[in-house]
Amino acid sequence: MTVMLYATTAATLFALGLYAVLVRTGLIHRLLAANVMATAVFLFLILVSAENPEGVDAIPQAMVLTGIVIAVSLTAFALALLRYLQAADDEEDQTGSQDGRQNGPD
Amino acid sequence: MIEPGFLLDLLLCLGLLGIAGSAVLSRGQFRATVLFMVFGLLMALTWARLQAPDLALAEAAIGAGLTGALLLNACKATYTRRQAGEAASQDDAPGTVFRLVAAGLSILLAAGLAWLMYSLTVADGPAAAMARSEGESHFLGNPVTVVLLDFRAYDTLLEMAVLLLALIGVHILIRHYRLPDLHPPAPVSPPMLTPLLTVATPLMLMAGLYLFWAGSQSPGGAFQSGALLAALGVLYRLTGRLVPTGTASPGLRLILVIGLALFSLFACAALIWSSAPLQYPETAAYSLVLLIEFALTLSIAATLLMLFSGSLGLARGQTS
Amino acid sequence: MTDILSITILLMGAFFFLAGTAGLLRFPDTPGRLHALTKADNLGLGLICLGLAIHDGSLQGILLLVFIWLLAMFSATLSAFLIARWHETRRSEAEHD
Repeated sequence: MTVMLYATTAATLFALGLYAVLVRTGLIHRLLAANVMATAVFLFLILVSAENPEGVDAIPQAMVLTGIVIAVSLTAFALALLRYLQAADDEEDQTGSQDGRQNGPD
Repeated sequence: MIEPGFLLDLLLCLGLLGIAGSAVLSRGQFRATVLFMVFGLLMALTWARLQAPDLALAEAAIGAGLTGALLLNACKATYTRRQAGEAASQDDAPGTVFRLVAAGLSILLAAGLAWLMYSLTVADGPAAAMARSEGESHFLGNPVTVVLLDFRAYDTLLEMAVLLLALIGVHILIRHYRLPDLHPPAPVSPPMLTPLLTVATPLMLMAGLYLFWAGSQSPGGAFQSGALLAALGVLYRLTGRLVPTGTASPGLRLILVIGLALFSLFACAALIWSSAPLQYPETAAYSLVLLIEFALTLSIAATLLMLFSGSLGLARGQTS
Repeated sequence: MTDILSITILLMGAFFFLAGTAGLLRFPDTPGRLHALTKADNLGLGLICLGLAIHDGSLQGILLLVFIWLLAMFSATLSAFLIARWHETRRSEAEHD
């Protein structure tokens, strides 16, 4: 019963994240949605670990712990890329009105 | 008859879905970010319900704490940019047909995934069986730490490499495009911040070091501890106790790489005393684990702090 | 006997949390919401910690609960202060313009 509940939650979270990645245009929202998808995968792995009849399985837990740290580092890098995109946009707006394309950020 | 535990699970799952849905579908970055942090906290509760206390600690510190801080950073950058100049560019939102198709496919996907998950039978694979049988007599008491630092130590090793690569990527972006400082020093510091730091510093240091120390026997470990120490650094960065600099000092560079460096060194050295890499020697295994884990803690804390800071280096600022 | 006492106190704590949340949702402006949150939730938290301490009974558990209570009070105070301060600065800016 509990397993089915959490499995349904994981499946729905994954689909929800995918839907948001597809229809949202804001990049931060897309990033959040991708994080939700990752969390859904983690939830499924931990569910497998917790439901093991031999007792809690430590390997999925360690993998998810690794995954959480990877997810935060990827999020940080994506956010830095986002700032770069915004800075490039601003520069283009400033120079673009004067003489077409100057040398963009290199 | 419904058990009270199941009721809690049900509420938790509904909360997760509701919060996640409103986070990714909400208008406005700030609202989405705050909702996502609440989602992280609910996830921490979920991990605790699913008998994964290590994950609950990590999620509370990283998922709800540091990711939230990073996202708020991004919101702040966008906000200052909007203040400075042009009106927000109109999003070219996809049409209704696209939305409907995407929603239909997503619902199908959810149904398919749920169906697959229901029919899955869980049993010990060979890896789990080995980890379990050897884990019982292992010199580390926490099975998750055993997997992280012994059975699948190469996972952790490569994970440190990924962390460092992410930081290097961020630094390349900052250096080449001269992104502006995200946290200029505030003109007036609010009066309650100094007492906050006086209370928070020893407590967070103590909690961080305790998590590191406890990690070998009970829930805790390098990641949770590093995240907590990084959060302390974030406090110092936000209140101007740490100021950004243009280059990283040698000490900072050393701390950033020491986890990966010591781990790699150990991996190579293990080839000498045993045939395989990443094998602990019989005699000094426990102290070696503690040493490596401490180095990992320092590196993780410094890397996460630098990812938040958005600058190439950090130096101590003057406290007024 | 202690069970009944602790359950009663826990229920009272839950009631105060409920009241605080209702205030957060229903009050119209920032100071009012802060008022509801800080007053009702701190009382609710104190009552819940007290109820759990009675239920637990061991010295270590009680000390931990007191510690949790103090820390949560401290952070709640600070965040309420920062939010109120932000609200005040924004309001005075709006009046100047």
